[in-house]
Amino acid sequence: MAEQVSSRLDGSVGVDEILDSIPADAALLLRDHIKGLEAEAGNARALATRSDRLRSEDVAALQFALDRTREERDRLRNRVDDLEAHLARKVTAAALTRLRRLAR
Amino acid sequence: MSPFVSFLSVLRSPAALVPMLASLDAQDDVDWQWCVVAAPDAEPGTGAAVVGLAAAHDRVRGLDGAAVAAADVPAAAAELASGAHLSWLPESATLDPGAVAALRRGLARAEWVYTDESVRGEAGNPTGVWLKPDWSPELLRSQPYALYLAAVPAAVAAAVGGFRRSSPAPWYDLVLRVSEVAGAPAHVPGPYLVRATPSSLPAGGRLRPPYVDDPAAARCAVVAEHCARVGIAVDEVSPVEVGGQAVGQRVHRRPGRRPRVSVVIPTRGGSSLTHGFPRRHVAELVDGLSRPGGYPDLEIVVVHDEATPPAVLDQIDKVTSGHWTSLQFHGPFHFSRKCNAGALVATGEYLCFLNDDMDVVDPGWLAELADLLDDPEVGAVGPRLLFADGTLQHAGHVYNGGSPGHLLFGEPADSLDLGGAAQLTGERSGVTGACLLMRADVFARVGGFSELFPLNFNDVDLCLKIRAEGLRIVYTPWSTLYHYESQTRVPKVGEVEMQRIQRRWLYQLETDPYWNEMLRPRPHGPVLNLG
Repeated sequence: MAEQVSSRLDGSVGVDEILDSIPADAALLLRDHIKGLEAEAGNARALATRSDRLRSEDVAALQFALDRTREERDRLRNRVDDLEAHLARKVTAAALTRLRRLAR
Repeated sequence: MSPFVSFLSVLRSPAALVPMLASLDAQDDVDWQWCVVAAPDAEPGTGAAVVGLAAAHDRVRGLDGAAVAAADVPAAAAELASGAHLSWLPESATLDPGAVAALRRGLARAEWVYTDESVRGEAGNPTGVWLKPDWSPELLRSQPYALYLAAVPAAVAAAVGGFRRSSPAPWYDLVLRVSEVAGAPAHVPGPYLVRATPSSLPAGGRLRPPYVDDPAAARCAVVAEHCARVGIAVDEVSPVEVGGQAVGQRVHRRPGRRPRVSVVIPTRGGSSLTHGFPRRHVAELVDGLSRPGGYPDLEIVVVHDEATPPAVLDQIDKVTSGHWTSLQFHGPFHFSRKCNAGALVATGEYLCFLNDDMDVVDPGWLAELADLLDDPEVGAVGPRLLFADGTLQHAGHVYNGGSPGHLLFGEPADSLDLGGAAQLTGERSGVTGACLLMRADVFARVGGFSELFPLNFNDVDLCLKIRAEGLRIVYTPWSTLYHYESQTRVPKVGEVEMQRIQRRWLYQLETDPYWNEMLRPRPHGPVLNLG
């Protein structure tokens, strides 16, 4: 038969009740320690959330810039194609003129 | 489909119509409506101009108010509105092109919203800007700071009774009543409302913030009614003026409970020359506290180093007739430990931490603080502190750029900077531990002053722990003490303490809600406590 023991940490007593039962100076230090840990956790969470938000905004801004750059690239490519076609037409026309001259 | 926002205006002159409408037509977000009423006492032709404009512009509704009783004009403007939100646009004020979009951004976060405001000179150039804090209910009682540009839901406005016929300051009154049911608004920083310089100003005159429009008696009346509705017992609400400029109001709370206050004074028994005379700080402070007319139930706890001269302790004994608690502190100087030690032997329901180099100006200073602490949502209260030369030492903390400081440090006592913040009661992120009143049970619950901070930032940490409990910190200039701290002392801020405070609270130290993010960081006084 197991020996029946009890512990104050068996779930029947909360942290506040334990802190209320120890000397006030020790409770003050422990409560500050707990509040400090909560603050550090909250601070880390808030900074992480802000960092995520800023990163998302950066990504969105970069994506926007990328889209704009691609649009500009495509526009320039089309322009180059147009110019090349125009040039080709001009070159072809000049060559035909030359051939016609030679044929005369 | 109803427009997103209806702007309400009452005009006395047709001259304002064109610039006001131009600023509305220039909005990026075009989902607005303008409801204009020509005032019964308007210049001749105003009514016809308003009605004519309404006929010509599909977003404008107009009414010639010649036959409307003056008290009914705001309600008449509201009756024209069909928008989901109501906003008041004063005569001659114009809007920034992003104003409606800014209101929409704010209203996505809260039930009502306000922005900042500015003034343009006669040449059209900006001559002043009022950048405001985030939601500060105590400040709204002290000053109509969240009125322009603001927008409230039309349904909520109707639910609280809309514009009341009897109200002497209709928009302030409505915003106060909306705040009572809708709670905290969103604040969108940026001067989205632009005022015109009034023609009454002398040539070259500059309208300085705060911009307070309604007559003093009207403001005081609506704030007194608001206090009655929210359960704040007041004896009087009186106007506050500085240098002839209207700044806001003072709420004189009816003296409430007077629970025992334990004043904890950490000291080394030091002396210095003050106003040219030698001053034995702690003894003179205790003498000031013990004078007739002071707080009725006071316990004085002096936490003194071993090196404190016996003559100082004898003098305290004499001025208090032995009614004080002496606690000797062993070990090197440690502000937090000394205050905690004093708090642990104190018997008061309230604790007041007080540096020894303070001087009481008005015997009612502690009662003023206690009346504010009577509000269960308030966690700590701090007074205005002045240097010996009368300049501001403390008007609340400000946390920006990751570093704490004193608001308006070293400025003249009657400074109107930051909308006159130093002259009015309002919330802060923190107040100095040099003089701080709080409940003893809250002090115990948050673990008192952290021993991680022997010299610096102990009060910053305490205030942020209090705020983390959901309680507000309030500053009031209606309790003033002299603080004979050296104005020229070079602060020694320990690297370790800075790292510790930032590890706990860096986010809060970069995002003070009572410091407008559009204000550039500026140098502040150091946050040091050398009791």
